[in-house]
Amino acid sequence: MSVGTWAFLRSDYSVSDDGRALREALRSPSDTPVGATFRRRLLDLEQVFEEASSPDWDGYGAAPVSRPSFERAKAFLEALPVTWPSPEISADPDGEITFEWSRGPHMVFAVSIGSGNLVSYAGLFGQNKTSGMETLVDQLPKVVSHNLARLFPRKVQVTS
Amino acid sequence: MPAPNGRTSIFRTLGLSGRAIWRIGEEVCRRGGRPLHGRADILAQEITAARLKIEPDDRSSRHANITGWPPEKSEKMSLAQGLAARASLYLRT
Repeated sequence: MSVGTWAFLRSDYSVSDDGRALREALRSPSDTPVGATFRRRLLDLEQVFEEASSPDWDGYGAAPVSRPSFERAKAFLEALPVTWPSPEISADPDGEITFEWSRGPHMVFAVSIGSGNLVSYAGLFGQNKTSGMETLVDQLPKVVSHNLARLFPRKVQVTS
Repeated sequence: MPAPNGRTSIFRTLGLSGRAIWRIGEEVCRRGGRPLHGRADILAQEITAARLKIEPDDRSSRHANITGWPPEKSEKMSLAQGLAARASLYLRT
């Protein structure tokens, strides 16, 4: 298992605008709106990790969420701008952590993160579908921001 | 999403009342020691239309598994999103 790639997602190494925004968010006290949003997301993630970190946590033989998977999911959360809509966070039976955004059953985008260097994603936008894998490098994968912009065009603006 | 063994546990509920369906869920959750949050109902033809299979087993007369999930995680996610969009969700109140 490798977690090296995720080191670049840590706030100290971020160089993009999003990264700078992230650094500000992390500096914010938790009683500010920005800081509170991040803390709330982190609390959700920690709760998922706690509930799904033992084998068979779902009663159907689910794999446990590992510490490296949790750390990578946490780094993904740190790279996610706090001004964007918050995802639902859950564990998958394969031990990965899924971040899902939804505007109803036909408008959904999800990213799944495990302990490896690739993230899996899938989206449903009415009749249109997208899915694939992306390597995590030094910031939030563009495919994530572009698909979130499809889902929330007023709240998520991305440059090419 | 499928379990690590590639199966998604389901119950065939055709002909059952809503109350009887809830009783199945309550029994499954009681045995597993977990709370029942809700259920999703979907027509079998939606599953086969997604090129997945429904395989009955001997766990009970109505129990079956969805099988035939693709190996790639992203493809599984996409199929699951499609099925969820066609299912009816009922939350336990």
